[in-house]
Amino acid sequence: MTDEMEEIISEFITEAEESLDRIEPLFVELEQKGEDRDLINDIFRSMHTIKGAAGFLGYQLVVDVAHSSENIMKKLRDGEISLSRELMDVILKSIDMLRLLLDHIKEKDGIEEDVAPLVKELGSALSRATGGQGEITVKVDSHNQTSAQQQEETVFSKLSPAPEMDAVSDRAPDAPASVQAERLPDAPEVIKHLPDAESLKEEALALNDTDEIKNPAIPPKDHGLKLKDKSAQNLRVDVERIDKVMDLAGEVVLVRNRLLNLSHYFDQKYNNDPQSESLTETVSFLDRVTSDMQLAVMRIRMQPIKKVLGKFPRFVRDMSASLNKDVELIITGEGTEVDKTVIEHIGDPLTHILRNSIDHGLESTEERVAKGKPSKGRVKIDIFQKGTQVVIEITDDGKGMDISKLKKKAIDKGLITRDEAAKMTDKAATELIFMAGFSTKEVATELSGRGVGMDVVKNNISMLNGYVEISTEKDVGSTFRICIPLTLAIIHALMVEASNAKYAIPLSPIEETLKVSAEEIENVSGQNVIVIRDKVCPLFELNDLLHTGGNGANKADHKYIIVISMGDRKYCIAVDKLLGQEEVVIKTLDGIDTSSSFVLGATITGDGKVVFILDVSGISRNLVEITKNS
Amino acid sequence: MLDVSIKVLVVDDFSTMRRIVKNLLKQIGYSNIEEAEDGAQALSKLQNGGFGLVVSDWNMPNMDGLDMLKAIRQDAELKDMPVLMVTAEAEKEKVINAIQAGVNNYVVKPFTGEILKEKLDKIFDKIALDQKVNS
Repeated sequence: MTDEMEEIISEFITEAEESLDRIEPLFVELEQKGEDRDLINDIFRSMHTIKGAAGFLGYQLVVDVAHSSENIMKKLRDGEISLSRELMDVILKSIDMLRLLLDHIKEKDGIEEDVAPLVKELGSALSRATGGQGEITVKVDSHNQTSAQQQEETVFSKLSPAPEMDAVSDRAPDAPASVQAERLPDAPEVIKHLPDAESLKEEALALNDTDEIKNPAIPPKDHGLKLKDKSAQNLRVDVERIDKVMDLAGEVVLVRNRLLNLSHYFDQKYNNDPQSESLTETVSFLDRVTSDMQLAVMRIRMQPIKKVLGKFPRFVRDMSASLNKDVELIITGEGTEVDKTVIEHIGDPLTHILRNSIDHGLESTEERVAKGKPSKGRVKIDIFQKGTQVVIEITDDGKGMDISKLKKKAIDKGLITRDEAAKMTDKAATELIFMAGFSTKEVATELSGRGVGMDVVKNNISMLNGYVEISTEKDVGSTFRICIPLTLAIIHALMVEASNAKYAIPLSPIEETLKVSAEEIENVSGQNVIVIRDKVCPLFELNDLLHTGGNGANKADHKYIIVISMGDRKYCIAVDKLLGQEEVVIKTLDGIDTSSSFVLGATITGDGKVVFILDVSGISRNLVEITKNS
Repeated sequence: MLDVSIKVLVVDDFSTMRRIVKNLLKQIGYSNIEEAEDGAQALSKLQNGGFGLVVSDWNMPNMDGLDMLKAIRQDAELKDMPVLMVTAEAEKEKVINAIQAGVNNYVVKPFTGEILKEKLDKIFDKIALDQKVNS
């Protein structure tokens, strides 16, 4: 296969998938709004376009599926049939099938799906829809058809005597028109008589006045000429290229940091030298420009979160049908932009939270009515930017979480002890639902295709350097609040030292830093602990965790301690020195298993040294194992 | 013989389709090809001048192929612009509408370079013939 062809195919896949992503939520909108012609036309057009391009590329299965569902959309558009749940279901099925087919093309796995049953289903759904119509509608339809035919005959009878056309056909005996006439028995007359635009014009104009079969697909509308078309200025760029620019911008930031350090040094040393002053000035200018550039590059990677949310209306629709709960989904702030990596990883967590809210949060309709609540349950997703973070809130107006039930379940499952449960705050208890093994229902999700519980929520979000909080109130509902930093490439970090080596710890999970004297450290059955404001907190040495072999700080009469809070877990890490706060650019390390090494990546500090960034959530997971085993 | 030095405007909202049509036109010998994403964008490009042929899709958002065609025929500068419409299947009503609006010819997807060339040959033969008759 030529490169050109490869490129066209991959472009086709991307574009077709984008179209499907775009139209899928429209179906749910359609179901809510009723028959909205613009929406129907939009969906029809996308199906039609996918079919057209797939035909060129020889993807017959795609053509077959798209064609069958397009037929239904066309009849809907022309008002010949009306929308029903059944039609909606089969069309949604065909979208799923198209996705599957595109996946096979993408994977080049050569698997041929059997689309015949679906095509048949689409066909019979359509014939049921047309057959199930009232008599009057049928009459109107047939009347329309006759008038269309009559008019067509008029057009062509007036066409026939035009001499030029025969001349043209004579001179082009092999014209594809005849080829197509065979393939398309629907419109042979049209093709036999080559349109002669000029001579037809008068007839056409005259006909137009009495034209009653105006194609309903083309309603008179504002041509939108005045609209400035922004999309024309869009450029499709390979992500790798953007990431390269991003990477280089990161390097520039690191160099800038070093320069700032150096210029500061020279400024101190030669503060009377005018050259030193202009160096400081130049560097501070570079500083500003670099920050602007970094922001600009970051924005290239940002995309509206809408991309992820598109599948939710359908998801809620399917779920509300299977659980027999009436659910309304409200989404705000879908235009909020987030990093591409966030787009890629936030889908699963959101799906799980949404499922949890509908399945466990919302009461049954009867229960709601009994409580005097509106029978229709409501789930809201609000997305907004807050400072340097993106906040996603999923709120339901259901029954709220029952703290004692949660605790009991966690005890029954052996996840926590009775003692722990008693000490647990309500807030910490709500987070029990994120623990692996807590969720009773291991649901294989149709959306992600895997059987995963709520623990994926926590893991995915901490992978994005974010965190999730729950607030809940009985009979009012629950809110899951996810906070994710705007960019994943730069983090604020606390610089620490252990055994003469520098490490960076992401600032977000750090609750506080403390200086404690050796006497304050107690040992409870082999585990060092300290008491912070009457609460016992396990203490670990960074030197031990990283097996540096150093224990310099042990001799000191006081220790520097970092208190880390990850969800319901709180622990302390003792380090030799606290060096201060720095903005660091994360460089991923190739060939290092970040899940076992406690290292998230590396960065180059202002003084030019390579420093490891510690993976606090990895450490946290591991420590839970340690404490459990001991 | 086709004059392949003219500038061609390919109009389609699906970029893969624009690319496919462009490739087919290149096979025929055209090299001066520009693209537009919908009828409205196409019209503003056409109004800037220099085009000798339009190959347009039918179904497009913003302004579809038929409305674009009508606008072209009503524009004093553009009214004689050869327009080839690309459609997924020959729908009688649509074709009638297009004929009424003054389309020069149409081609059904999927098509090969040869089919496209034959269609274009027809369009330009017809134009040459008309000019002879009128002169």
